[in-house]
Amino acid sequence: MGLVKRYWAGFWSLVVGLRVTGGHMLRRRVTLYYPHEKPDTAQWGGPIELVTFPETQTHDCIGCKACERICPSDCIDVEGKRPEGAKKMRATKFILDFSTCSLCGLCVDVCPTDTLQYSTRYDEAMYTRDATRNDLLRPYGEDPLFSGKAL
Amino acid sequence: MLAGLRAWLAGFVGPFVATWLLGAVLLMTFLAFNVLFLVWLERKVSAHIQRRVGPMEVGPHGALQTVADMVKLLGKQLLTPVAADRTVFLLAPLLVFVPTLCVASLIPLSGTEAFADQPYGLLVIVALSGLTVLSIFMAGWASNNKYAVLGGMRSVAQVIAYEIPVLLAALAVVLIAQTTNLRLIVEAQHHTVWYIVLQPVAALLYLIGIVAETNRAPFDIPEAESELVGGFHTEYSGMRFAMFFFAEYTNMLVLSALGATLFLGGWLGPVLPGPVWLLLKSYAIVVFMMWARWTYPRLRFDQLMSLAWKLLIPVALVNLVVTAVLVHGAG
Amino acid sequence: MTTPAPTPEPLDTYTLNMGPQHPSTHGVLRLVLTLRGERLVHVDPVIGYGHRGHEKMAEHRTYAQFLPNTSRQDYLSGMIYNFAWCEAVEKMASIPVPERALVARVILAEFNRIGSHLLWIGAFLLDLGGWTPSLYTWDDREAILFLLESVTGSRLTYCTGRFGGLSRDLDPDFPARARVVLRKLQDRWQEYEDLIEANVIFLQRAKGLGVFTKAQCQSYGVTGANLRAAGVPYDVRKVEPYGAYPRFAFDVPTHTDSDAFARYWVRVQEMKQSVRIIEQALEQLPDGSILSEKGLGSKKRLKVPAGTLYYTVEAARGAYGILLVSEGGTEPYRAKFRTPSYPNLAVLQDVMPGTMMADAVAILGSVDIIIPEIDR
Repeated sequence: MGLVKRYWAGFWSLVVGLRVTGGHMLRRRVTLYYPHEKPDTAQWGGPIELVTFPETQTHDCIGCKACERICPSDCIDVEGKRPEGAKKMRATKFILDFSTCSLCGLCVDVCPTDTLQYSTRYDEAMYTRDATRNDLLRPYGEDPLFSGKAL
Repeated sequence: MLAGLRAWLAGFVGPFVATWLLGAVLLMTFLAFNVLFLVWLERKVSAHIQRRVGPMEVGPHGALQTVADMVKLLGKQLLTPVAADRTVFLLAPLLVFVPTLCVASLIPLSGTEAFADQPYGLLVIVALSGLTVLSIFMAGWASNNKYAVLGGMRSVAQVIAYEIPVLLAALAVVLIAQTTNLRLIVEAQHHTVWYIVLQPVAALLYLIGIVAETNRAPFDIPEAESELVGGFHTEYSGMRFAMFFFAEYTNMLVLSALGATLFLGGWLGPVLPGPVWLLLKSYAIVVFMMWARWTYPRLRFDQLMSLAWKLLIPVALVNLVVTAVLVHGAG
Repeated sequence: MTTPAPTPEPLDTYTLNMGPQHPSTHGVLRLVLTLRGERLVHVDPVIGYGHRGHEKMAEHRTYAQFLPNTSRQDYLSGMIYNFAWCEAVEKMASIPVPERALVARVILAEFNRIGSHLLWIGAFLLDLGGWTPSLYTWDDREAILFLLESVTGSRLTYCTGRFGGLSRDLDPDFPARARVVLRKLQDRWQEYEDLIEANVIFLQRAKGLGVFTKAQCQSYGVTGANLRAAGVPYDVRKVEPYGAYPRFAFDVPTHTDSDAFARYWVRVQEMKQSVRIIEQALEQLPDGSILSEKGLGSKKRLKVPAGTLYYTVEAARGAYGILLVSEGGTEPYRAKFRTPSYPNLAVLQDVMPGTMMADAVAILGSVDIIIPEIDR
């Protein structure tokens, strides 16, 4: 008798399993149909970028190399120079090699002017090794403090 | 239209050969398109069970995905192992279809249409379905690969073991219908009731049996061996591999069609024409097999064998005896 | 170095190489199997394919600079490993941690643990041949990862711990969102039970599979759910409590069978206990600052006083220990990591022989190892 009960329990468990998957078969998908649908990336900590401050409409990197020193992966390359007649230094070059960046956030922590932040970019596949070197100053174009033009 | 085509062909090769040729071509074409559909269906069913969508890009809702896959497989290099038994190696993927096609030709499409009408149809089918495993073993043996042989031997043992419950379940139906002619079996169901009602145990045994016959999960150890070692089709590449793949899906459909004939009333049903009902019922069973595949984990090989020999066959025998007693008592 | 195979090799055995590239070895593990027919005679795990030199890197980085390495050791419980490093340094350097950070760490760590176990369930069922449960567990895990992304910005390898707390505070609506995720998880338990635990095929495969004895566990140093499935209620959170864990009431599930099913059951129960802990922690989440001193280790130099400390936490896979030796400088003199998967793999050399080939993969899956943390 116990044997029959065991076999029945086994068989019934198979039916119950089918019910679970059958229920899922009729429900809506939970996946995102990329690239036709894009994910919500508002909170994603992506490759590091410079902050554009609203008051000055530009970044505030002074080229102090604190981030370059702290980076555990040596992926930051910063150069800075004091522009004519200015009090603070200003970055002339900021290359971040994203292929070695581990997104640890230490550079964001250490920056004295809080000018580094995570971006929300996530789909940056590239075809060459060179393309992984992000130029953080590129979005800013020609720096007015160096060229002498008005802000 | 078909009659006209046959008459035209008969002018060249004679009526018998014309019928045979036309029937064979039609059947193979149908089954080929069917496999395309079934592969797509499998991917869609598995996707929806897993809360995703499956192929969507190629064709509307991915309908042409299988075609794309076939094109890809056609382009692959056909490798033959150096030490393989070349003739058998090349023959195996071709022969794997033959028994399935023969079985398919014996299933009646409706009261008046069939590819062949055999008075001992069921017996012929049972005899033929044992031959599929021969080509699987040929594939494993000819590969000259110890893992392929292992996979092939496992598959042979599995198919042979699960043939018996299938046969015994079909026999129970024969006892009730008093005939082995498939067309008469369906007509008997027309007069009484579908045999799944009269023979639920046999229907269940048949279903489990065909899942194991076609190497589907949860009985897919010979295939899933590829997680650890290759299955019987390790050494096959490109279109030859596709042949085995095709054969599995064709086998699934044909055995499901046989099940529909034996237990679900074949072509019977209101409104729609007979062959359409047969197709719908077969697909219902196929979808059920797919559903089961994506629900259960795999049985280990010895568990698989002991399930067949220690549970299914005794139950099938008991069912047969009980059916015989009841049929004898009733009439 | 590998353990030597039995010599001389009898003629009726054959060697099978489950190479480093393999779908079922949970990482780059090489298993050299010696089989007689269907049965395993000898198992020789070959490790080292994923060695990256974490311990060496620790000697050449400051304490803060080592933070990103910590998550990469066991990437499935990356949060726990990250916090373990922070806590070890905090203990050695006597850095205070605000209450809010302590409780927040518990919440995040427990979510990480649930995520790791969910993935393991999927992977274990994949080893057994059931493809579907893994997608359901990944769906649940997605909810957890999305939640943790809102707190840390990362989904898998977290670097949110700092010496003295966390780098980012929890949003005010975090408790509400966390509760939604917990609700979603709890709705699923019954489904997992119906689909997996009650399933006769799963039971047939997993029961009696890969039984460890208590003696084997203690001899090899097996920890985690494997030890608890053998009946030993050893959980670092109870035995050597750390952080805010003493404030929360939770049980340590144990089982006596010590087979694959017992390990599955223990991990499922652990997930439920984690949910319990998180709920209590969300209730008790105090206000206040999340970091006692901003920039410690980055803006401000951190010198850890000389000494040796062995700090151990309960990671998802077992007891994770950090042996930290400092000579008073800004970089550790030596950091040795006791990772739970190392002995968990080693014990398989005793357990696997005698089983069948298909079972070997299942046993490996049931033990829940991550190769990168073995190799470091």
